[in-house]
Amino acid sequence: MMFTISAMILIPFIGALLASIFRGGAKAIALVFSLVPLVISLVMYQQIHDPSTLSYVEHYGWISALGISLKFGIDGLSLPLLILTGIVFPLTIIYSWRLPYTPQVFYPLMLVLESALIGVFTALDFIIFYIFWELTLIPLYFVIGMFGGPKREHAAIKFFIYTHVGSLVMLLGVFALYFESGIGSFDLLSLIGAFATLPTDLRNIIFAAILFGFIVKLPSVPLHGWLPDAYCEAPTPGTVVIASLLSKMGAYGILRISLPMLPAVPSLTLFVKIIAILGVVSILYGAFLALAQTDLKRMIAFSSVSHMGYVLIGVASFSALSLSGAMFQMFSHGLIIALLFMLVGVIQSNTGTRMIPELSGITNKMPIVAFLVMGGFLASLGLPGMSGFVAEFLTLMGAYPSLPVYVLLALVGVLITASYYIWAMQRALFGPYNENLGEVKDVGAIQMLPMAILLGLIILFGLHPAPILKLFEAVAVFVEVLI
Amino acid sequence: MNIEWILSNYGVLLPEAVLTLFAFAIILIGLKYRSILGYLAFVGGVVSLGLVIMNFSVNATLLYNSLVFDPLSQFFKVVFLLVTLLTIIASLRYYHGNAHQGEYYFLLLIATVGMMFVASANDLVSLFVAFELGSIATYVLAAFDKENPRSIEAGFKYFMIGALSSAILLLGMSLIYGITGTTNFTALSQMSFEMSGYTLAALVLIIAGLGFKMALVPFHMWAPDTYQGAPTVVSAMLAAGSKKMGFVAAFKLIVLALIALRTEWYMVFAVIAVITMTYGNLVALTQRSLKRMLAYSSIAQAGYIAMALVVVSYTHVDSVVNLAMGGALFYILSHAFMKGGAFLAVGTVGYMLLRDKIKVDEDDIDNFSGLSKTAPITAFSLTVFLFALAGIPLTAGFVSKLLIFSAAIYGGLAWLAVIAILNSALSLFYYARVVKVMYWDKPKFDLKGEPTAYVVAVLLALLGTVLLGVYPGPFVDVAMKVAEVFL
Amino acid sequence: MIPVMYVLALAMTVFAIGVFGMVSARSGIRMMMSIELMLNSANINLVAFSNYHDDISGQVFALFSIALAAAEAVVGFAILLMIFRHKGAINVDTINILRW
Repeated sequence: MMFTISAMILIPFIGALLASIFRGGAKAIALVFSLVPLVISLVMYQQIHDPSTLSYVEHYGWISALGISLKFGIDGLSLPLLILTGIVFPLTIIYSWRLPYTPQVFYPLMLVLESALIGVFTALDFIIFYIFWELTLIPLYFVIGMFGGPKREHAAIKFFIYTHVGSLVMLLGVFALYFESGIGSFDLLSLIGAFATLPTDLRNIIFAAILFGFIVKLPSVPLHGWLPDAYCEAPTPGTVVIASLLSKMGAYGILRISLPMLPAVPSLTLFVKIIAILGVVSILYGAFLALAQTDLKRMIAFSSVSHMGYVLIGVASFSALSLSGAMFQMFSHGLIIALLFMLVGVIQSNTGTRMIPELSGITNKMPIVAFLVMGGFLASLGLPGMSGFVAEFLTLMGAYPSLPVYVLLALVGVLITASYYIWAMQRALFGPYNENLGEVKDVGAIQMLPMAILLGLIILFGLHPAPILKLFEAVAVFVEVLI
Repeated sequence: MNIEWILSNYGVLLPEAVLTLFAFAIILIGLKYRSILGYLAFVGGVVSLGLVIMNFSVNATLLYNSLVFDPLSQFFKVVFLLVTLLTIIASLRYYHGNAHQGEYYFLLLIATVGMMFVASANDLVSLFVAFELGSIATYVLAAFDKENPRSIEAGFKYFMIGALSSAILLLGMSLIYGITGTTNFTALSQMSFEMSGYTLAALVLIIAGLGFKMALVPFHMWAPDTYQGAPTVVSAMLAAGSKKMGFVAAFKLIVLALIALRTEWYMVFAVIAVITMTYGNLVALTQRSLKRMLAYSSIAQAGYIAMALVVVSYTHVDSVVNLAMGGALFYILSHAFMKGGAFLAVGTVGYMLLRDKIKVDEDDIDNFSGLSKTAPITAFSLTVFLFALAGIPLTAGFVSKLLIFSAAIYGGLAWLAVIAILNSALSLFYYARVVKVMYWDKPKFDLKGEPTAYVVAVLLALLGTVLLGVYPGPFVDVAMKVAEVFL
Repeated sequence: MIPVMYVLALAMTVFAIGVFGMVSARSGIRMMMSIELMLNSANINLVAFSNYHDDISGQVFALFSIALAAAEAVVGFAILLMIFRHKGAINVDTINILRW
């Protein structure tokens, strides 16, 4: 299979070109072309033998003078994220089917975004990784700016510049690594391998710079400044993609690049402590902020900060169990948050508001939405039987031996999460119906379909996480041995 | 003295000769047939470009070693000719039916010949003569729309500052000649200098004289006025082509000829480069006129390119020098496409406003609102050019910055790279603002279709920008190979 | 023979007068004259150094630069003429449309 990954990256891009030319068929083209990567990644899933090593590796020259080459490959860490990308994009496109976005502009942007994301998850050369990483910003800049809410201009430029600066810091770190090690290649694995040969004080700086870029994207407190605006002002499909996939880029970067470097960092204990603290603070601070919100979308946005904190805990734990939990959290959170933001979008468009106090008793008028919201909220707060539970339970259990205090603090976060979700559910869904909302309709069949699929997947992977978890476990065990 | 002898000895001069012939032919034919002049100039440019590319890896000297033909000179000639060709294509529409077309294309071609000779100069005399040929023709071009007071003002300011800088440059050259007794670059490069008041004065005068042409701060003040006031097709040529003449002269004079002087001077270059990029970006933030914004962004870009001068003055490790100069050359090539394209795209809008008889300032940012609906190709291309100038991946700008910034880090000037990277993040603000205006504001004017000639020129520049960004490998290799001249 | 230092001093003085004129002049013609002064100071230099080094190329350089100065003056006066047609004056203070 020579060009499998190239095809995965190029096909949505070709779809984008076609969709911008054939205006009438833009939606159908977008749906078909966004499904192709899912099909390819499922085939890969069937055929992958050893998830702990790279397979489907492709290697072409790009700029030989600097040793940059187009190198792609997948392993057990990237494959589930490719599957996630392949699931979320078609569902988002189905969700947007009836929404009033200019088709020949909106759908090409989504397809370009899908291409870029697949590139990020498969690139094995740092510059290529960076290129795709940056490329995700441009379609999102347009999606937020052209189709977003009232403060979209501000949100778009803030998102763009904030994360761009984060990536530039990361790039500087990689440059330093490249030139100091003198290996003359930007190959991801060789660079990580060469990291241990550098002078001691430089290693700390380089590690910090690279970690900074990932943490901005994750985002973790205190670098989450772009998040509330971007999540809330983006149109629903944009928010879904940012929350479910863009934040996974940061997590993926940490697991793919920072984690293998970590053992060679001189101030190892300090950095582990910093990562763990960032993780716990994100969990708690995100949860507290979510508790304080009256805007449903903002609440879910902060819950996302809180949930991504688990990934950091997993990284700091150094245990295979916790790591595979953290990786599974990426996958599971990607599904759950996509569902939640889609639901908020439906609630807002059907009732005209997303303020929790103004929503009351909508269960009576929108039983399907209410059912899905309950499902999503329960999944997100970690109800057993849903995928979120598996991920958080594994992460915290695995991390307990090495980081007991942090795990106990994180458990407090779990409690707060449960309380804000249940509280929001109680206020928004139940109680007497707020007659000011007028006559509201329940969700239409087209928008219900993707949400039902997502909820089904969440329950499926909650009850039977093994198909995905086994890939992550293989990688995590492999990484643990390295460490 | 037969034709074969001439060809074998002076064949390398053919591109310049062809261009000059076409220029004079255009003047003559222009007396009778005006409509074909642009196409004639285009053909001349294409033939000349073909001849240059055919002779790319030549290595010859002519006229007592006062002209040199090596990959470096050929590389710059390619850049100059590409910019001229883009300008000619757009001018086909802008100067269609103009009574003075003959003079316009004549001056355009002659300015190109001058720039090409600068690229080949290997002697102070030939450098100065070629430099003046390239400059004087562009003074007239800047003032070409003589009914438009802005254009005349642009030409006047450009002329005054340009003449001043020539005088300063000439004085610097005379001092170099006084110190060494030679005007030849090859001889100069083998001399050892003692640092004295005279050498100091000579170097300062030369940096100032060339700094004007390269529009480095503090010698930049003509650039915004000139780029804003000149006809936009000419601004494209000035920013993308003529400015590079200053760079090639600086590379030849400072990096090649005065090799012994440039050491110890890296701090001066560093300060100039840093001030240039920071000032350019900061002032560009506040502009409402798009041409003026592009002018300031062009100043900032000159600051990035000047980083190469800093690196080669700071270190003499061959691999670093090669990377820095190769990066600078690649930057110059891609800047020709990005900036030329951006000016032409702005010119397209200006032309459409003029054609549809909408009386506004041609390049005010408000005119661009909703351009994605009224002129989709122009809006999309301008977006790509602006993102390229900001250094977003998959465009030529990203690869150029990658090369030149990594050269700075490789050479041990990490602080310079950090400043440059912060600057390029800053520049995103004003580029993104234009994109915002074009894509999510309501259209202000009803424009009737995009002019074909402009669209062709813009799309060609777009092709260059994207090609250099997506598939840079071979082009980087060529630039690095060419840069071996500097080792 | 006059020592080269004297000639150099003369050239520098002429150049300084040119720079002063360039900065202080309000009339376009005066500015052109100042530029001519500056160019000619360099020519004095070239000829003097040519004599000093006993090398002809300096004088050749000076000849070229005189020719170029003439060409430059032609263009400069042409532009000034257009300014005169538009404004009825060649005072540089009136040239002020383009500014930030």
